[in-house]
Amino acid sequence: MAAITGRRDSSSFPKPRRRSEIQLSTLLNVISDLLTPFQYDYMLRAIWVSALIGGTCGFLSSFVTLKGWSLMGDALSHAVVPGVAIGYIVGIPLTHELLRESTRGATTTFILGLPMVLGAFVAGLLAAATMAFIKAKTRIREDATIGIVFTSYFAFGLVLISLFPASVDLKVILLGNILGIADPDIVQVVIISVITLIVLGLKWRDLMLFCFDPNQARALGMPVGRLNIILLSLLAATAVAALQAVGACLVVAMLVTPGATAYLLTDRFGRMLWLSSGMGVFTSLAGAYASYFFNGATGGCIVTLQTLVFLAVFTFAPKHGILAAKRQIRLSATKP
Amino acid sequence: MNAFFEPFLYDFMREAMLVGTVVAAMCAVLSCFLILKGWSLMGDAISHAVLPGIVIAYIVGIPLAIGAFAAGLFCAVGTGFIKDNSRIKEDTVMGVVFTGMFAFGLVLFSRTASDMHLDHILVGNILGITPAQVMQTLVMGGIVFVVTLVLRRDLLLICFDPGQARVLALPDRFLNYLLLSLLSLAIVVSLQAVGIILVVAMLVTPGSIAHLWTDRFDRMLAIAVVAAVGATVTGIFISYHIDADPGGCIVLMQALVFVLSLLFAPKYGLLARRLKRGT
Repeated sequence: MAAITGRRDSSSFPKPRRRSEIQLSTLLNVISDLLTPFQYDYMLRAIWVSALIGGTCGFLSSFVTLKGWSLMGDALSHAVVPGVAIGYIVGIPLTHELLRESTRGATTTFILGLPMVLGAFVAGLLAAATMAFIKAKTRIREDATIGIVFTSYFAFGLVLISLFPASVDLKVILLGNILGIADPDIVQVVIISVITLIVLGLKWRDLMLFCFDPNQARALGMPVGRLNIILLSLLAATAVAALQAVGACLVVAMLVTPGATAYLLTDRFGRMLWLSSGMGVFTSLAGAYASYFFNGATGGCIVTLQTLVFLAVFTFAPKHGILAAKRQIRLSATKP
Repeated sequence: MNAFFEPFLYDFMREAMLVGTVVAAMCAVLSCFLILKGWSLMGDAISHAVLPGIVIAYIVGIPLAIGAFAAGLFCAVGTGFIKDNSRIKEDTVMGVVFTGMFAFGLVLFSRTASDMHLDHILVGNILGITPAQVMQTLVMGGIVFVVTLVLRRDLLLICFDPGQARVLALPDRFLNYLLLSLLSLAIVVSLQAVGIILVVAMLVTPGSIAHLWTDRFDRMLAIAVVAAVGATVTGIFISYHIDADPGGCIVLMQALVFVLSLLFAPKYGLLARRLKRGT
């Protein structure tokens, strides 16, 4: 607030005489410009919701990176689109009816929020089941199977949206719209994140072993099939949440980049979890804030930031960065 | 009957079908190599990575196709570099690189005043194609198609058996890059028709369909092309009648052909397998 009054003051003195005064007023201007996003409710909301999504996805991304499921994350984030579309198409008439019947905000928003998440979640799991089926029954490679299935699901969503153009905006699904996120959607995101974090918090050791070495997990008598389904479900659920923030095209980044970055920084899984969730939170906070200055391209800002952090770590990481590797080669070359 | 064939009366529908046919045939030929080499994800990655190239080309004022092509190659090379120099798995690296480039493209786009529609880049706009774009698609699509077919023996060998290719003193590095370049070109050409997100389907599904039908590569190429072209023309046709997105309809038709092949293909279909187990 002080910065804003500062700006007004400076404009009420039209001719600053000394250079230092000019510098001071431009500095104040810059600061007040930088603080403007915080004046808006929708920005503050977008920032904390993004941070929540970023943290959850970051946490999960350590497992995804270890398991080598990057393509799966990409596939699920596209495969949930028909579910989202159906949720919107069915959900919106429902909204109006509910609003007419009851004026109590809290209960109605929760009910009308439900279809989209459920539809998307079911679509994601169906896609995963389809992939597993085709992979088991045919001679087609896994990557091709994933490609066929997720593009088909996505195309189905696209056709649905084009048939009901009034109810869904394609751009919102593809690129996210966290700046305009509605209250029921925030409720969904919070529920998904809390559930995901609780499940991961309780089960992370089992899931870690399952990701590292499924055979050993099986030998130890762990329910490998169930762990697989848990991880897939979490992936589908967070994909739905992340869709809100960054859109279908960039969800995979939220689910991969933090984990990959953390993997370059440490060899210990516990630390990797902290690093990847921390990076998710930080980049999402900063990205959502920065998107105020980039016409609301929130997803683009968050993911660009994540990629920059990844590149910095890839270059400078103390043990696994390229500079460290070069230094090591030089050292071993000079030693006789 | 007349109402049924109504689409053929319109120029834009005829052009859409022509462009769709060329794109489908070109992608189908490439898809046979990609699924044998396991490069399905590469198609996905390159198609997203072209976005910053398109935006930068628009800002600089060079043809969009050149920018897109350069960005696609940059993605492939960048992925290779990071993979070789770190301990991260290839698919993860690819995910990081292509989303990073796509996101950068979005940020750039948000700061650029232009008359480009992001939707058209993402999901294609085959019905609004201009005559110049038709020409460009026909020429470039034709080139990719012919080059791929002429070099199919060499490309096949580096896909199936890179070791053997090296033994035979084939320039395998060059051929790898050639395949990558053909892939990037094909993606650039297809963007207009089906957009960034669905190009992957054009580059994976036809080859997989054909893979279910035959063990012979030449036959596989022919089946893939026929399936892709048939699905594309039918898809556009249906999209006119139900007033739905043409790109989506094309991909759904391909998926339908895939499902039918999965069930009824003579040797590798589910039905045939079950019958064989029964006897």
